[in-house]
Amino acid sequence: MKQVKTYFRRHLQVFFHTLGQFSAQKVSTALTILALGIGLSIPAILLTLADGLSAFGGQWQGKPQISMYLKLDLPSQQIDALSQKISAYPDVDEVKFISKEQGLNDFTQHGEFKDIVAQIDSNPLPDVLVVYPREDVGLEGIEALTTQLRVEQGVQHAQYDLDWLKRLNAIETFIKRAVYILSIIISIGLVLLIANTIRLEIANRQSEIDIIDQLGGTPAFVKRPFLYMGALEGFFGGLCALLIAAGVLVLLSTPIQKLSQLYDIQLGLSGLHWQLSLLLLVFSTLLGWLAAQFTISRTLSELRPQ
Amino acid sequence: MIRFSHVSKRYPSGHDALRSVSFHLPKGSMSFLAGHSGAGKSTLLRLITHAITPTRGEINIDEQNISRIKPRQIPLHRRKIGCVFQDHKLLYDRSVFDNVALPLIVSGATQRDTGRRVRAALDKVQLLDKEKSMPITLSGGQQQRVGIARAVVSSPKILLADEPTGNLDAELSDQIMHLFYEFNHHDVTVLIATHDQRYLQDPSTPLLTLQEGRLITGQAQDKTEHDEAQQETQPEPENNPATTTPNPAPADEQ
Ligand SMILES: Nc1ncnc2c1ncn2[C@@H]1O[C@H](COP(=O)(O)OP(=O)(O)O)[C@@H](O)[C@H]1O
Ligand SMILES: [Mg+2]
Repeated sequence: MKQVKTYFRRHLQVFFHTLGQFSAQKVSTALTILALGIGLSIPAILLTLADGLSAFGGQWQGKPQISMYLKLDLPSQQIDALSQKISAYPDVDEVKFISKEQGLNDFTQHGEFKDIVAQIDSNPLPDVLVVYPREDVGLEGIEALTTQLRVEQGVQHAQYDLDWLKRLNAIETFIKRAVYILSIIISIGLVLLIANTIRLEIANRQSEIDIIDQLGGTPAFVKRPFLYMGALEGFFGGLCALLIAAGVLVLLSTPIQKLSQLYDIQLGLSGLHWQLSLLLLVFSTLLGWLAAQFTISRTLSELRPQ
Repeated sequence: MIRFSHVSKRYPSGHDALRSVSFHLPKGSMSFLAGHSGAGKSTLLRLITHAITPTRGEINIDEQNISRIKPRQIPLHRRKIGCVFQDHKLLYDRSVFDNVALPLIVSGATQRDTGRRVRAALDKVQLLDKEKSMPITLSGGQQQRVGIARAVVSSPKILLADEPTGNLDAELSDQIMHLFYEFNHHDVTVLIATHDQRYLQDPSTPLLTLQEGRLITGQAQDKTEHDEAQQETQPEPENNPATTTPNPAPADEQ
């Protein structure tokens, strides 16, 4: 019990001593923490954006559909005949006709285009047949069906909307991977940055380290203030990163809202996720601790008697 | 308490600082370590604290062979020893109180215990009124006394001093030396490296003299080493006849 108390008292002593040192070296501490914050905010922002993007993709995973854009001057009997012919395809579940007037109407619903639509006098949109494949038709089946539909009489162009989804998925994978790689590079940079501040601190306090070593201080005792310094720098750096990231996301929120209105989807970007925030804090603290551990252990090995 | 058996120290530079040094200092003894500059005095003291390791030979401190000490036992070994240095080795960004408290903080003493012991130690060196001062504001003699207070604050079994009076005038030196004799009366084993002839001529204090890394007085004889070991367990180390030097009785204060 007494030992436990002693243990905690020593840790508290060092904790407050380290905080005291920070306030004694305001400028250099603030600069270090700001640099850490800027570095760490970049992956935090990118990860949040990537999360929003994947929520965006998720809402597109509805029923797959193939849009057939018909030639502009196709008579309506021919459209009907085509529609019936396609309905009879074994892979096709349902065919829906969207006239060019209806398409224009849908288009004008989106506020931003209203003015543009008002300025043009002829309707530039084609008639569209939307083909819904049966549910058991896989991605390859849909691709094959699309190729088949493309060569039908009166069809200008056919495409399946999975294209978009696939691209989105690819972009998302790419962005996530890029963010991870970037995070690793930034983390290494931050470890070096913290290690350097610890190295300077060790140099400043070399005589203290030597004296404590001579007085019978254990390696753990000698290390402790430096580990606290690294961990606290990491923690405050993480906190600073959260503030920066939150600020940047607020600045981005207006354009993102516009974007989600435009696509009629919820972009799921209500700011930083608390799990991500917590992870960032834990990660940055750990990073600082590791950097300090790495640096001070090397110094201690030099203290070993020879 | 302190026993060297054929201890040699060669520095990585190839310099032989100590050559086959053997001696024994019984518990509660007070001795001087003499020798020209570069004779190996500091090397010998650093071997005792295990700041450096011997190249050959065996060192026993307080019944423990420290030539084979495990790294994790080194801190405990060092806490048995108080050290006073010529250049004080104080922390100049901390108050006198904090400097003296350092060995207690290192060994995890309670706050109340720390305050009590630090004040007792400062009282002994007559610096109680300076506890809040910064060391840099004190004179050389006062700083040395802070160093001494720090060395004795945790009641070590052994007190080592490396030329503690090197930078002080005669009067201050006498004050400091007087303190060491006083600690020795409290059963602390004291070893002081010095080349101040005024103290070395004191016939009641045994002398180890180094020359070019060899011990020329105070050398323990191989054949008597065994007797010595037995003597150490006896209650009156003053009567130890084994060393070639005068009896290591607590010396008179000057
Ligand atoms: N770290 C070291 N590396 C190499 N040589 C050293 C080192 N420390 C001391 N010496 C040499 O060892 C010899 C003894 O040094 P030292 O024990 O400091 O002598 P003293 O304290 O009696 O003046 C000297 O010649 C000195 O130059
Ligand atoms: Mg010396």
